[in-house]
Order: sequence, then structure tokens, then C-alpha cells
Amino acid sequence: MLSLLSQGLGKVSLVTGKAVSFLTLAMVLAMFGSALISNLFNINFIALQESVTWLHAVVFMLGAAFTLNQDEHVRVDIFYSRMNKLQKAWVNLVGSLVFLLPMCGFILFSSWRYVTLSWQLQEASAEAGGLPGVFLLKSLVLVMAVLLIIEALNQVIINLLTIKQSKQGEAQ
Amino acid sequence: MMEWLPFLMFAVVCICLMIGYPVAFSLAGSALIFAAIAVAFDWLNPLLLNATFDRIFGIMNNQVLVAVPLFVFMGVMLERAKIAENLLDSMAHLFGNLRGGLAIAVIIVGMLLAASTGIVGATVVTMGLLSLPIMLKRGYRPELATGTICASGTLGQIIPPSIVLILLGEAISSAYRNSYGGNPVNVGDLFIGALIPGVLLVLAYISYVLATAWLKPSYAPLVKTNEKATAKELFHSLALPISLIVLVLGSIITGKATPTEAAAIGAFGAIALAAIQKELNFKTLKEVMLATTKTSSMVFMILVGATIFSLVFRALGGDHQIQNALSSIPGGVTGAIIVVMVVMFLLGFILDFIEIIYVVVPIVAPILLQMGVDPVWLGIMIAVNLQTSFLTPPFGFALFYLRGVAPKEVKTKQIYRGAIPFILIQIGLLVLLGIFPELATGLPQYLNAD
Repeated sequence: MLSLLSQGLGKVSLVTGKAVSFLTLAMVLAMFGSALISNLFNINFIALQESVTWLHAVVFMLGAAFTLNQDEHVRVDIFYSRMNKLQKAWVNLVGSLVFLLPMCGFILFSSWRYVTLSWQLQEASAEAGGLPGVFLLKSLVLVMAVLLIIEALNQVIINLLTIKQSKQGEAQ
Repeated sequence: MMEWLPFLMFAVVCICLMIGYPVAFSLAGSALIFAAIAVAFDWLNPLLLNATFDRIFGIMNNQVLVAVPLFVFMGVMLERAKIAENLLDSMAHLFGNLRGGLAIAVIIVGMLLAASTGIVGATVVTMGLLSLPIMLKRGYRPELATGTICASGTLGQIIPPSIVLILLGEAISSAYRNSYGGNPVNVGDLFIGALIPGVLLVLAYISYVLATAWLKPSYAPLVKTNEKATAKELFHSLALPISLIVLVLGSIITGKATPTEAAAIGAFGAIALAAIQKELNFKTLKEVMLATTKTSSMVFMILVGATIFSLVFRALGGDHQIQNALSSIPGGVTGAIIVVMVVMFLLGFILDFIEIIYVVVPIVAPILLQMGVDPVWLGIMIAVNLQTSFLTPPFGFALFYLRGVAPKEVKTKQIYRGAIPFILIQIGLLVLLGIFPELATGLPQYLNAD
């Protein structure tokens, strides 16, 4: 039951991560195009440049939970690399509960006001020729926090199960 | 009590990091726990933390930092399409009849891999897996082989277009904006400033290898190989990647492109090279895109976590405490610089480059800049200093990572011993930079003067 729930939660991270990864190629092509245009025709295409910045924001904000799922967030591993599976599970369980979930809660709580205000104003880019819809970009902060909470719950379940299994292993 | 809080917080956060939970979340989480306690005792005004959203949005909307994923894309593509591997191969062929030639090939490839990642570990591991077995097979002494690989693996950090230089440049220029307003330093300046010190380092490494090979022939025996690379092979695996790097750096130095645009040119060029080598397929492309997404999320989440950390640190009055401490050091600017460099060197034992840039630079750089330190020089000093720290036994990151991939016959002691000559070269460069700051600042000033 729990492991089924964990699979579902992990799926959310996997699907978003794989989806946004295609945007990295889009960034390369768009920025390359913008560099060509500005050098050949001496035109600065603000909307194109801004869209690359936005794509970048989408990639790392929505990819954060996926990266956690794949265990690719950097750790200081002087001690961690020498721990056994059970000790690692405890680090990840406690870290998710004490560090990650409160961080996400704080970001949600402190950002909510600014994002809703931006929606009310239907905020657009301050640059001339920039993109409309800055309120959508700002909403990414909330989406990132929610995705990270989903993946953090997945991590809590996975590590609880690891700890439980190794307890059972000892009892036998 | 209040004066001690920021320092206590710094110590507690460092201890939390050592536990091994991902850095980005440990930084933010432990700082927030500290903030909650401080708010409960009325030591901290919670309104000061309201800036969090603005700071995170600032990171998302920063056009300079867009260069990071683009350079990562380029580096990973060069690696996955086996272009880096082929480059090492043909370098080895080219220098095959020279004593110590293989070690020189490793140094040059390490230099060219600069763009691939900001993480010391990744470069050292790649280099170790690619070249250590070949060097040992050809009879190189383990000390010389491992020392060369570790040093070359960290070389990528100071040679442009290194990602850590982009991050460092942005951190220093935002410190400059905060203390002076205006934006006279940029990432391009730091790239150009790093050129001469970087080339000096490469030359010093190569001279050391040549001297060792010449004085102690048993360290780097000459193995005659009959394999000869054809001119066409050399062109594909050597000339093309090198012209790509030259194109990227050249467009930044001549001012034709911003670092972000140059990064896109590099990434596009890497795709083209992969296609020429017939290594471009959907599977490789997918791997590169996924690796870029993960590295980029990892880097920028640390930036988000460090932002929350530094907001809490400031709200506790930490910047004032550091300012007081630094300005009371005897010896004025020189004394302050030496203390900051020693602290960073020691922090390099537990934190990687990116964490130090985000956590320490925003705290100390504004104060040093107000004391009149040149921003480009400061950046280069920090980069060379940290590179040295990663090479220093017993805690240096590069040594750890190489130990992880080196065969058991290579003793840890040999890895440590092999690093020492390179550490001496590093220290030599630091002293040179201290005496002749023009080595770093001269070229950017000259180019900006036109």
C-alpha cells in the first residue's frame, strides 16, 4: 500500500523531470538563434532572449524534485559515503522531515502573497518588447515547492520502508 | 549573546552539512530552524525574511546565469559523444614519442574539459577513468599519474569557460552592486582575467612533468607504439574540438558575444561535432538533456538554499559582525585578504566550490571590495586558492574522488605524495598573483581600454 503510494508520488517527479529536460535543447537553439540574429542583423530580440531565461527557470525549478528523486543533489559526503544503507536511510528520513519539508513550507508561506498580487495585476515584463505573463513565471516558485513536497513525501516513505525492512531482517 | 548568534549559526549550519543530506536543503532548513528559534526569543525580526520571494525570483530572472545550463549542455555533449575520449587518444598519439607525453595530453584535456561541470568530483572521476589505467599500463609511476590527473581535474575551474567562474563573477559583481551601485565588473572580465593565470598554471604543470620525465626516466617510461593516427583522424578528434573552444572563448574576448550567447554557440557546436563524429542519436541527446536538467537544478537549488541562509545570517546582523572582525585585523587590506583566503582554504575541505561561492563570497566580498580590493583579482585569487584546497591532503576533494576510481594497487599515500608538487606550483602562482596583481587585472583593463 505504502510502496504503491510512493511509486505514484515518484512518478510525478519523473514525468515532470523528463518533460522539462526537452526544454534544455530548446534553450540552446533559441539562444543560438538570438546570438545569430543580433550579430548578423544587429537587432536585439528581447522577447527571444527573455524566453530563454524563462525556459531556464522552468527547467531548474521544475527539475528540482526530479533531481532529488534521482539522488543527484550534491551532498557533503565525507561521512555519508562511509555509512551503511540503514544509516543513509536515517539521514534522508530526518533530512526530509527537518530540512526539506520546512523549507518548502516556508517558501510557500512567504511567497503566496507576492504571487497572488502578481496575478491580480496580470504583471508583464518591465522591459520594452518583453514577454507578458510574468505572473506565470512567478507562480513557478509555488509549483517548485509543491513538487518538492510531493517528492519529499516519497523519500519519507521509501526511507521508512528501508528502516522497517532492516529492523525485520535483524529480528529474524 | 546577540553578537555571537551569526557565528553560532554558521558553525551549526556547517555541522548540519556534514551529516550528508543534500546541501541545498540542509543550508535552507538549518538556517530556518535557527531563524525560528531566534524569532521565538525576539532576537530576529521575521519581516526581514520577507525578501525571500524577491531573491528567488531574482535568481530565476538572471540572464547571466543562463550561461550555466548552456555550458553544461556543451560539456556533457562533448563527453557523451566520446569527443573528450577521442581527444585524449589523439593527444596521446601526438605526444606519443615524447617522454611524459601522455601526462601532457591529460593536462591539456583537463584544461579543455573546463566547461563540462562545476563539480570537481565529476571532472576528476572522468579523467581518472579515462586516463589512469592507460598511464599505469604504460609504466608511469602512480605518484606522477595520480598527481597529474588530480591537478588537471581541478584545472577546469580556473580556465574559462568554467562554470564556477561564471557563478563567482556573478556573486562578486552583485557584491559590487550592493556596495557601490553600478556594474563595472562582469563575467566576461573574470574570464579574460583568468586567461593569463590559467595559461601560467598549464605551462608550470607541463614543465614539471617534462622535468620529472627527463630527470627520472623511470617515472615516465617511453613506450614505442607503432599505431599512427591518420591526418583525417587527428583533424576530427583534435582540430574540431579545439576550434570549438577557441570560437567560444574568442567570441567572448572580442566582445562579439556575451558569455550566455557564447555558451549557446558552444552547445550548438557540440551538437554539430557529435553529428560529424556520427555519435549523435536520440538516445545520446536524451541523456545529455537529462544530465543538463539535473546539474542545472542541483546548482540553482544550492543558490536558492544559500539565499535563504544568507538572509537569515544578515537578519541576525552577521554582515556587521564580519565587517567589524575583518576591519580589526592588523595589516589592513593585506591582513584581511590573507585571513579570508585561509578561511576559504579550510572551508574547501568540507564544501565544494559552488557552496563557497554562494555562502562565503556574499558575506566577505562586499567588505573586501569596500577596502579597495580589485574585483577581478579577488575572483582569480579565490579560484586558485580553492583549486589548491581541493588538491591538499588529507581532505582535498580531488584526492578523495580519484581514490574512489583508482585501482587498489595504487596506495592512498602515493596519491597524496603525487599531489604535493602540484600544490607547490599552486602556492607559487598565488604568491605571484599577490605580488603582481596585473597578471589577473592587466588583460581585462587593456581590452576594456579600447
